Amino acid sequence: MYIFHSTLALAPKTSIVRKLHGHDSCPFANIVLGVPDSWDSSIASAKPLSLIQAIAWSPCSQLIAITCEDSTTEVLDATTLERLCTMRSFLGTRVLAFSPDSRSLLCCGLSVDSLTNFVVSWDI
Amino acid sequence: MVRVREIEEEAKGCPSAISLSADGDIIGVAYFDRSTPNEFTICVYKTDSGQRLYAHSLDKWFIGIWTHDQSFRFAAVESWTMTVWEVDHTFNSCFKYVGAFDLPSDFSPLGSFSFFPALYRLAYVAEGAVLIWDARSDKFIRKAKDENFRGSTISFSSDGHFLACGTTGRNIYLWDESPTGYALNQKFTSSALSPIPLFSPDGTSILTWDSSTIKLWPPGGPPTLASHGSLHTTSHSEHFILAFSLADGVAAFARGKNNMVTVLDLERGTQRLAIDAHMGVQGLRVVEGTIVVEGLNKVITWTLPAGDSVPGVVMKVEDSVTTTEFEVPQLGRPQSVSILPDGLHIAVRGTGDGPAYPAPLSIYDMSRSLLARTFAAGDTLWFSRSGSQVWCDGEVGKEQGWRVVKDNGPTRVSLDPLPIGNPPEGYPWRSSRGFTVTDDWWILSPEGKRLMWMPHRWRSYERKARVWSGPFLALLHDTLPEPVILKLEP
Repeated sequence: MYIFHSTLALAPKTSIVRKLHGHDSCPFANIVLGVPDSWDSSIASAKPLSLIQAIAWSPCSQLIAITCEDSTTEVLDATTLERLCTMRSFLGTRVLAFSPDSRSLLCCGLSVDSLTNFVVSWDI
Repeated sequence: MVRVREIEEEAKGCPSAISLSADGDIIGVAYFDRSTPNEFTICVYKTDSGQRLYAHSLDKWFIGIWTHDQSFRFAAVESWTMTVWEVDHTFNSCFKYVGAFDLPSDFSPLGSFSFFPALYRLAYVAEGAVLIWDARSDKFIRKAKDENFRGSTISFSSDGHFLACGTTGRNIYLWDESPTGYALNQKFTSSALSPIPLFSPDGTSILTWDSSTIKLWPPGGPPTLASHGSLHTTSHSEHFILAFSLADGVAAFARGKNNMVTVLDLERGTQRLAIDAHMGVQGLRVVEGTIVVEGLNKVITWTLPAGDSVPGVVMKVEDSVTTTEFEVPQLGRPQSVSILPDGLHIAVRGTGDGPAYPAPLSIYDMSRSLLARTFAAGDTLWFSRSGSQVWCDGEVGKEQGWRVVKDNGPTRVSLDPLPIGNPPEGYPWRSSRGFTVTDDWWILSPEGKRLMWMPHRWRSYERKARVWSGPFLALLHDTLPEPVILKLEP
């Protein structure tokens, strides 16, 4: 219980754990200053439904492509990480690359039975 | 999205890397055959027809493939030799030899490599160390250690100016180019367990990812990346905190990070003063209304202004009262420095130079004369507030201290070892009000009552800070830029 109290005292101000349980915070330690507003200073994060296999940044720095274990490849907005489009390709995509003009995306992988290599090109 | 082309052929292995030529006409893919040690195949395809132009097997450890004008270059390592080839864009020959470099023996094929082709720089991470090597000059330009570097991934920014390395401890190290190689810019934390850093091509953002999470750090990078031009940080000047009372009785903390010192007013919870020391801050001290900032070969003092602060005002070196520069002979480079409250003596701890020359602790006067020398374990060095003792920090309860004995005035000093244990005052395990920190990280009241347990990530204060001022306690997190200050009320 002491450990729970101690950790709450140091939790960021806008964290969910502080909002829900802040009233249980350590009664002996008052925060004077310094507790951050949030857990980190990243501006966006994304959690795909399946494990990520590879990521590529477009040469124009505006797009990010990710490919996941479930054979989906997604193109994200590089400023917000919002999903712009999703493609379903072969299972086993392992590497990605944008074309120099950022208008095409190459997905390369090994088929599930390990018999075939594939390269698929998409126009974005 | 429109699927426009598909190339399918007999498997050559698991793809390791893919790249397009600058005109987009050809595709290069590196495949790794897991059934054969170090067996890589480089294939080149025509983009429009999908026709395979070349396939070439390499019995070497592949490092990278990259666009080079209208063709590709790729690099591989074998037996401590790195070789670079080019795929000739005329297609009259398969692979053209570009050059080879003998790698230093510090590199093992089991590590991770990142290659920045334009400047022929190779970054290598393995066995808890990062090595950056310049192939042209055959010199190491940076070596860094962290046990969490094991199994890490390392990458250069597109201009080669930045280098980032993720660790198994959720941290990402970011170095930037400096006149002396690559200097640590900052260390920040991702929630990912083993984050992989990836720079945006325009160099303004950094993305970190592991198998389940992607994080995007702000344009200009996390905390201080944007201001890299003015930072010259060393790993020994990341955080220093000093607790003291101002002349008007206000409890205050001063924080030293990189080149900046910040004095915080605890009664109001505001910043009272900022000082740009223009040097890496190695230590802080306040002596009768004067704040003393210690660098590795320089000590600068400022008079603390009384009364209300003026927000946004930054004191600079031009505003200082004194600047004392000293050059001290060392065994190894200076690692930590502390100045005696009398302002007449400086203690310097060097890094030593291997087992034959362990880390020295030396006392000098301000005219650079050596007064006493012994050898010390630990890391950060500090004088006690009275100046009667000097300590090197170590594990809780196992710190090393010496009594500073002034024989015949200030010109002769000797060091008498004290029993290994806790320092007597305030740093960092005991406050003048009787608060203590136990071996198992409990903070106890003066009556011995458990007040709070210190979570693991908040223990970095153990080596870097003087953290007590009356009931106030400053805690430093591994990665947060500011200390959290608590007022303990048993």
